[in-house]
Amino acid sequence: MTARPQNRLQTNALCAELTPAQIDKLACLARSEHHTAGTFVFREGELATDLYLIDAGRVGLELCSPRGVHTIDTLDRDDALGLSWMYPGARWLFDARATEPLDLVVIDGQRLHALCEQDTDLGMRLMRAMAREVIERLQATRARLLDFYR
Amino acid sequence: MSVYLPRPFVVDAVERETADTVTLVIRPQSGLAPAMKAGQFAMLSAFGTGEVPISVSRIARDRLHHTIRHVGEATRALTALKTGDSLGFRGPFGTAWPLAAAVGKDLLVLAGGLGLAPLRPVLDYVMNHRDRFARVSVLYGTREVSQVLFGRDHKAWRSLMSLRMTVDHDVRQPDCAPWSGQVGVITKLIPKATYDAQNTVAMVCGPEIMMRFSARDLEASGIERANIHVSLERNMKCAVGLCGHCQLSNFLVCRDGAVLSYDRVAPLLTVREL
Ligand SMILES: Cc1cc2nc3c(=O)[nH]c(=O)nc-3n(C[C@H](O)[C@H](O)[C@H](O)COP(=O)(O)OP(=O)(O)OC[C@H]3O[C@@H](n4cnc5c(N)ncnc54)[C@H](O)[C@@H]3O)c2cc1C
Ligand code: FES
Repeated sequence: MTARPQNRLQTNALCAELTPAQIDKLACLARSEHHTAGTFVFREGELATDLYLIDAGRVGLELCSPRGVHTIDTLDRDDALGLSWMYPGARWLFDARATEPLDLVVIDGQRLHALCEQDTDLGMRLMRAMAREVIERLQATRARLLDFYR
Repeated sequence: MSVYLPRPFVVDAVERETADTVTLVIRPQSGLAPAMKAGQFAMLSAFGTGEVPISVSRIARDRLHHTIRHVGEATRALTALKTGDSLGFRGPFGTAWPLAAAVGKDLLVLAGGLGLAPLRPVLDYVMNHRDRFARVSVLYGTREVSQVLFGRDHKAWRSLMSLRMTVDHDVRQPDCAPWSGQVGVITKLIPKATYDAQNTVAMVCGPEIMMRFSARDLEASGIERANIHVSLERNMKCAVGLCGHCQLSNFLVCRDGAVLSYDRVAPLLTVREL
């Protein structure tokens, strides 16, 4: 049986600073999605409309080149997938492909924008959590640029 | 026998690990193999080329395993040795991983690249004495899938401990099986491991920057510096604390290390001149 969106949001790092009432508001915008291993959640170039929170499974962010398929990053349980929804009109830069059976909580980006504007405290807390996520990914990218295993 | 005089050993088997890395299984030409502890190293010499410090990567009753990556002249000669060839051995030298301190606790093993080699005897010990530890997690990061070491051991390790792997770079060719682990830096695996930070001993080995980043995140997760252990690498010559080649501030890595607790070395790792 699938857990209620509220319960699934509670454990996600993005929601760590939200109050229970704010999590309830977020849950009202959420739906569940399941992807079988090998299928795409979204493709490079598509409009980035939603925020995805991973409930179970693993997803790879991929990019094709003549050298093959590059996996840029993998994300799994309790990670946020796709940060581009923050900017209306943005498009995904990578393919997101389930590498294992994947359960997602999907939050409609447009309605989330409206909610953040209406409940600015929720908006501030969510943006702070998003900023932390972005900083962590930036630091990880910098560490990989050092290529220290060579 | 003098600690300066290499003892003649013979190569019993050569196991190819990756394109540039082999494991030499060696034994003394005569007499018993020296008693080595997990984390210790020996000075190995391919005659006529030079002598280099190499950690023990498996301790068998009458054989020692050393996993060597070809980076320069001495390691080129060592990795080119064939079964039956002779080599020189001095040791064992250095400190060991604090296995006794981890008994009854959660054990977290973080290995980066070739750093899995000095930690493999720890995992062998866990395999033989699993009941002595609480949760055991191995977090292993390498540059790319082709650099993953000791694939033949992974199945057994997974049966008794949690093993999570990540690579920094993954390019999949159409005819290759996809990589089933993670992609990204090794520190990304730390929040995924289950351990009680107040009751955990962490052992970290890999490139120095990887150890710094990992130790920093382990500390941030609540593990005390004194319970985080790293293995340092410095150029060595005598290996017995006399020549000063391996000096790191007031430590001689060959004598006081290579395994040292993070509370002792953390301030030194960010000093530019050292
Ligand atoms: C305590 C200790 C334990 C060690 N354990 C192992 C082990 O188990 N397996 C193993 O393969 N090596 C190990 N090393 C590293 C090994 O000793 C060096 O790779 C070796 O001394 C290089 O000698 P060389 O003559 O082949 O290369 P050099 O001619 O000395 O160096 C050639 C090139 O390789 C680079 N280089 C030197 N050392 C390293 C290094 N450690 N990593 C990356 N690049 C390097 C140099 O900067 C230079 O550019 C250990 C070192 C220490 C101090
Ligand atoms: S190698 Fe000579 S003092 Fe350490």
